[in-house]
Amino acid sequence: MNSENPDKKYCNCTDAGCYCDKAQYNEAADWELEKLVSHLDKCPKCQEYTERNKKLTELCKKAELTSLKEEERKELKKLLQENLKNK
Amino acid sequence: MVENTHQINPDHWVDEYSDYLFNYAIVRVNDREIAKDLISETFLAGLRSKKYFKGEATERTWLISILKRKIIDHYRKINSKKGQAEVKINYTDEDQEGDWLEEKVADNFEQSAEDNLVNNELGAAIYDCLDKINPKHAKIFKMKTIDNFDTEVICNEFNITPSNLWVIIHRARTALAECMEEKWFK
Repeated sequence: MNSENPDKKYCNCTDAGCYCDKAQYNEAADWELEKLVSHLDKCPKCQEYTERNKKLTELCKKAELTSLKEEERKELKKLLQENLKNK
Repeated sequence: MVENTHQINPDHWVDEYSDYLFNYAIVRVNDREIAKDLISETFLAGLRSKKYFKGEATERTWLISILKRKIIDHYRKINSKKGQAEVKINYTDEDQEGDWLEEKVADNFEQSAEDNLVNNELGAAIYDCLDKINPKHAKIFKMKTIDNFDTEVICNEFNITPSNLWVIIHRARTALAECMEEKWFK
C-alpha cells in the first residue's frame, strides 16, 4: 500500500481502503482524506466498503469493548500455572 | 447423539478467553477490579472442575457458565453485606426516621439494563467474529481498536512496517464487517 503520495490527485481502490481504515482511527493525513473523497466520488465499491467500515467503527464504540492489560494477563497466567502445578 | 469433540486446555485459557470473559463480566459488575477477580475465580473453578468437562460444549461456553455462577455469587455476597449494613444503621435524627440510606444514594447508572444487555450481546458478536479471523490479524485489530495502542508500538511488537500493519488492519476489518453483517444485522 502506498503510504505517502500526496502529488497525484487520485488513488486506486487498495489505497482508498487503507485511507478509509486510517480515518477510522483518526490517523489519515489531510491529503489521504482528500484522495479518498475524490476516489469515493467515482467508485461505488469503495463507497460500500466505507459505509461498512464506518458501521464497524460505530459497533465497536457502542460495544465499549475493553481488554485486560498485558500485566493483568501475565498475572492470570501465573495464577493458572501455579494452580496447574499443584494439581 | 451429541459428539464430545471439544477438548479442554487450560494453558490457552488466558490468551483465548480472558478478553471475552472480562467483557462479559465488566458489563455486569461495572467494576474493572471485581471483573478481574471474577475471571481469576472462574479459571480456578474451571481447573478444579475440569474433570467434569464432557466436551459437549465449547471451552468458552463452559467457562461462561462458570463465570455466570460467580457473578450471581458476587451479587449474593453484596446483598448479604448490604443486609448487615442496613441493620447497623441508626437514625439519629427523628426527621430521618424511615429513610433508608439507599434512598439517598444517587442513581449513577448511566445506561439502562437493556442497553447493557445489547452492548454485551454486541460485544459477544464482535468477539465471536474475531475468533473466526486470522489470529494474528485479530490480535493486531484488538491492540489497535480496543487497547488503542499507537501504530508504532504495534509495529515494534510484531516487527512489521506501518504499511504491513494497515494491510492487516484492512483484512481484519473487511472480514469482521462481513461477519458482523451475518451475525448482527441479519
